[in-house]
Amino acid sequence: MKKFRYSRFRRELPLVIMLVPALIFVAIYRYGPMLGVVMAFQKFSPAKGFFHSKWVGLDNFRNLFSMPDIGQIIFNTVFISFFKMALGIIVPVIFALLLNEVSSSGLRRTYQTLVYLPHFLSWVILAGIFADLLSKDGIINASLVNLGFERIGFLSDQKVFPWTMIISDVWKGFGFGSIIYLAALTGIDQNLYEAAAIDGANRWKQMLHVTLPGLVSTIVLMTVLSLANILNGGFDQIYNLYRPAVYRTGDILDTFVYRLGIDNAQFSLSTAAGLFKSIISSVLIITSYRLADKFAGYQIF
Amino acid sequence: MKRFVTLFLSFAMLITFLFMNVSFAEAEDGPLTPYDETVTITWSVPTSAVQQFFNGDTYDDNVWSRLIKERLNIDVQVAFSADTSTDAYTNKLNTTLASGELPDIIKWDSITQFHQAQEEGYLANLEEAWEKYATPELKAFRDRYVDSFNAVTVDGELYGFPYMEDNFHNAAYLWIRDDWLENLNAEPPKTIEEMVELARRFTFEDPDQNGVDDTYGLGLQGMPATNNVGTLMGLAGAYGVPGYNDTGIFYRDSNGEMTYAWIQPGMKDCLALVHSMYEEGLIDPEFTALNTSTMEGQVTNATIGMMYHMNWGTWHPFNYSYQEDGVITRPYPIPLADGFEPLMGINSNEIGDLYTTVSAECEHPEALIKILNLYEEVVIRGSGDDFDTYWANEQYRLSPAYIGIPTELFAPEIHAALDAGTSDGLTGTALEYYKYVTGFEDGSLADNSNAYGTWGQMFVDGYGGSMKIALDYKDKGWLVQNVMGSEMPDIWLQNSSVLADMVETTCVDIIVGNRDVDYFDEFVQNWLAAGGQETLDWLNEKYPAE
Repeated sequence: MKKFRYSRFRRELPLVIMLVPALIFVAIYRYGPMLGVVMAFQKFSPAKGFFHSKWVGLDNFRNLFSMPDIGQIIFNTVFISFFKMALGIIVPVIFALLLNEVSSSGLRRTYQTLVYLPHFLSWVILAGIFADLLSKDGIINASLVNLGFERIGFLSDQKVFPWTMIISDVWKGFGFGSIIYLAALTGIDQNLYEAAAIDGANRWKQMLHVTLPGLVSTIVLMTVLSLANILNGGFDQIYNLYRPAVYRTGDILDTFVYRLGIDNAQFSLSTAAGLFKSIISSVLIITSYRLADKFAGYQIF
Repeated sequence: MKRFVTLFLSFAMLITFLFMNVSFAEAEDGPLTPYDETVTITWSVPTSAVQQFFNGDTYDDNVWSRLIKERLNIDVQVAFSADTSTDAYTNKLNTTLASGELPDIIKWDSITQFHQAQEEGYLANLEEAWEKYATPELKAFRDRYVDSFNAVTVDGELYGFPYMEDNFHNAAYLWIRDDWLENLNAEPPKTIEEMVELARRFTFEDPDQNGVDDTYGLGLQGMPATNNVGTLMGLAGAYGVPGYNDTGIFYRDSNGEMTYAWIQPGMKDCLALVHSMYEEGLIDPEFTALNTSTMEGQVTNATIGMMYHMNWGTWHPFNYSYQEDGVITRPYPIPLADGFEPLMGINSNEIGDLYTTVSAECEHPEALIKILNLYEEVVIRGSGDDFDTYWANEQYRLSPAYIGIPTELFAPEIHAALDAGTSDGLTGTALEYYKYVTGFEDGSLADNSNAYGTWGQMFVDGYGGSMKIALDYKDKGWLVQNVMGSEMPDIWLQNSSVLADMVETTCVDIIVGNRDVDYFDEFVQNWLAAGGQETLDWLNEKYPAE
């Protein structure tokens, strides 16, 4: 018995050694910086460092929640990310179902590639493109005016801005998001379709009664997993597209933390805000994994 | 936060390496005596997009590094450089502060950083070196700019060299293109009503005469209470709101109460007016998307011909339309509003751009003073050739320490010389400015951007350039200076950006009509509750009424 273990250890030793650099990397760059959360409980001064800055307990959190707009900002964050999540599931599923019905495989592949593309573009680039497209004289407003509609301030109207964020984000991600559903579709037994056809089901009925039920577990899983992102409104998108005129409905936790931390050098306060977000997110992640396990039999650990 | 920690660590390492190069030599006497052995001085370089280089110069090797080596036997080396137009330079300074490993000469870009470094004991006391080495001409600046020097003086001892400014000229002006006024045969407006009428004509009467409806009356940008180009500053000033850009100013009002500019009741009238101009289409409907660089575009392609801006308009951004079409844009005194006493906000003289300090570890703190002596001799009192070589075209920024020549210092003597039509009695910088102005006027320097820039500030015809108008503001007692100097209460350090956001969003929301103008009253209450009142109380106690 002992000998067996030893030989197994010897066999795996090179693998363990190969793992060491990765572990060191994670320790230094992922776990090390976590010690920095101590700033959230200090009146951090860079010159004094972690060890000599004054300890203030929960003062930073008190200050954070007494900020005049914090309630609105949390609402904006949840509102934007909720609709991003919801549409981020519905749209890819519909797209996958539609694509599944396209019979020409050449056409199917072309569509697929076309809708994947935006996923690989950074928001920094897309923001420039959208700012042009959606501006007052941009192609979209020009078309609206020619069709006899009013101009829409996609990026300047407070009521419209969150929806611009939601829809453009869904547009960017739905192609890539549909991959998992397309994969799930290939896993559905073809015999079921034949059986349904014999029972007289047309394409629509087949989709309703065969394809969709085959996707349900994947959909539930993706929904549950995305719950953890409820406080992620999408920093890089919003930061690149917002402006003071839409702060009221467009400012999210991440952009607020950025302005506070970088522009105003309030490291402690922004750390507190970041920590608050992390705690809520961890709770949601744990809950969602529990739910995923319960409803979809999905386990990571 | 994670990024900061890693940045801190990597920086600590970088700066340690840079430090290994410092060599030392024996101290010498005399303000400009060269060292026997070459002394190496490292410095932090705030880089800027406006920096120009000629003949293959770099930050490491340029007119100033060569001059300093030749005259003082000091080898100036770049410790690190970072861009000041982004957060990069500030972030580098913050990491430097955290590591405590400073270059010999370090330029802080905020007074808060200076205070932190001083409290940590990172900075050399320069009092002795100043007394011993500064030339009488350099010493004179300390007497002239007492407030600026106060900011870098702790317990009566000097810890750095400030960016000197007499802020009176940093008020707002109404800048208008010459050709549009001429095309419409219009007069510069004296009242707000005339200003609105002119904006109307600029919008609807095709002032650029290209037959296309492609112009707006008044240039305004997306953060009009924060930024200078297309600001609300001068407009609000007409309504008795001494608004100042960035974080605004604090002052005692005519009743002796400590108060804050952007919460004045006149602001309501100002915003109501701008809202009506916006509704009428006199302002770009998408102005909320505009920032300083997109405003440059609107100036260059003549979308706007009138806007409120600071005193340096002919340096930026109207130099673009001058280069593009040869069109001159000039400043006018702000148009006045009926029933309001105009007030123009200016910042405290304690607040400047850069604070130059020396590391406590540096063996030769007097090297900074020597470099300043040299700078003063070459630029302030030097020949025209020296001025062209070492100051013009942003070359002065290449010296590890420079005297941010306060243009306003020379305004009265240059005005007198221009009125008299002779340069007799002018020397050094003043003479060079005089040559720029007259050279621009007689056309010999028409292509020189330094000449157009200086001309816009200094000319004396009509209302005159921005300096003449500023002196006029000053005479009329319109100027209100920020009470808050280099010392700020904790609550303000913590909340100022949130409060500034409140000012900005309130202005923009009311202008575009997202909120009714009466929301302004609610904003004032919110502003006071979110730390504004606490700041006012702190200031009231610190600077009691006389």
